[in-house]
Amino acid sequence: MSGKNDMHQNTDQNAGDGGNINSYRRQFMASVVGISGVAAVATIAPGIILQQAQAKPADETVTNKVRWGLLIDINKLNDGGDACVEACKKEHGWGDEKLSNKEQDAQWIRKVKVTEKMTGHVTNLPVMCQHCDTAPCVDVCPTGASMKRADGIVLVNKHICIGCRYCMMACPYKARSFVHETLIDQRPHSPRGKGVVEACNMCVHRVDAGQKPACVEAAPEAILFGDLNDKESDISKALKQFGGTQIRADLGLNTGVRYWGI
Amino acid sequence: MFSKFLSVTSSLLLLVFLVGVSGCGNESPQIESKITKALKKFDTEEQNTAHKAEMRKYHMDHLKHKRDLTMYGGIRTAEDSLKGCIDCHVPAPEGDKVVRHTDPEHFCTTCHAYASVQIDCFQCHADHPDKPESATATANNASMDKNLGIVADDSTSKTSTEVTAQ
Ligand code: SF4
Ligand code: SF4
Repeated sequence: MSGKNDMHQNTDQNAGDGGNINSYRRQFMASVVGISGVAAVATIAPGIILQQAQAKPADETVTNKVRWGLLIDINKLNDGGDACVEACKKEHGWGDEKLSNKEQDAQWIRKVKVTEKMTGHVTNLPVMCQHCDTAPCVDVCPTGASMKRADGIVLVNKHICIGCRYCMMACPYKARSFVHETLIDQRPHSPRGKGVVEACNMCVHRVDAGQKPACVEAAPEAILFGDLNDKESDISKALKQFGGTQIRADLGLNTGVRYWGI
Repeated sequence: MFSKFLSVTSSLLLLVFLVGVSGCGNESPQIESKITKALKKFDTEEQNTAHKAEMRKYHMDHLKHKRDLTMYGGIRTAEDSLKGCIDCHVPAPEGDKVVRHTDPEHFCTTCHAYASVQIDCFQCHADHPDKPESATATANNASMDKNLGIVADDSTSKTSTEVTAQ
């Protein structure tokens, strides 16, 4: 638990500085400290409670009792999300398309740079599929390939995708890519191929196995992953206490990915 | 009209199917001998025979059924997992030697080429196991295999030896 103490110290150091970013940091760290306290108790007392909350038995169908989500504190991403992008590439094997040009390259997650015109303030944030509750990509798909799983993860069922790319047009976050070339040597847990659309699948193979998504593991101090429907989960508590921003909240898509610091 | 079309199509299908099955059955030792041996083996000979008989005829039905369970329900058991088939029937890459579905010695290709049936699975799915060092889920598979009565065969496989050790 030395990490916990470090965070305490940081919080104290930053306390006098004022400013928006510091207050964000303070809130986030306070919540992390608070939560890790709770987590420790939960782990010690009934044994494996925390594990069980995450994993489902392999032969059980997913239900809508759970809704998976991410909370990304961009002020804690010193690299603006580079590590997350790299982790995602490695996990799913994209980003190495030999014949595609820049416009055609796959992008499951990318770093977006936002500059405020008046102040010149630059913000970098990683953007992946936002796993919308009312997903436009699912609405427009003519074959039902673009789908939302009961637990809120939005996926492309590549078996029935005809590659029309209507969902790419519909997605307000530019989250989807189309594979333009024949691929070989895919990762066994992440099938991907020419002629179909793909996007961040919230590392569904890991989630089903009770693990966290690869990008979360690459930036554990900045990203929380958990069940938005479970009031007791770390992510729900953090969101309840401090809120979280949706990108383009005006669209009313009730995204599963929320941000701090934008 | 339509039913006639159906019956013609289905008898054609049946024909292709029978050719396919007999092509890879005991009747055809030339093909049998070319098929790559599986890495793991069953506890008993009966299990082995039953597995062969079932899979030779119905592997595509098993895979298609499981595909929907996995896509929509997130069910990722070892049973009928395509990744499981590949892990056992196709050797992991060793150095530069990678067996892909475009190679005649690939387990699936041996029969599919003989029966002239195109395989679409590997347009997207991996046609061989990950390189040993990047295979993270192997331990998981091993524990699931136990439930299916599959044990690692140490004499034929380096990969599965590692699995049992974990
Ligand atoms: S972010 Fe785009 S791809 Fe993801 S669920 Fe929303 S509309 Fe679909
Ligand atoms: S959740 Fe998985 S697929 Fe989605 S951006 Fe993160 S690493 Fe990539």
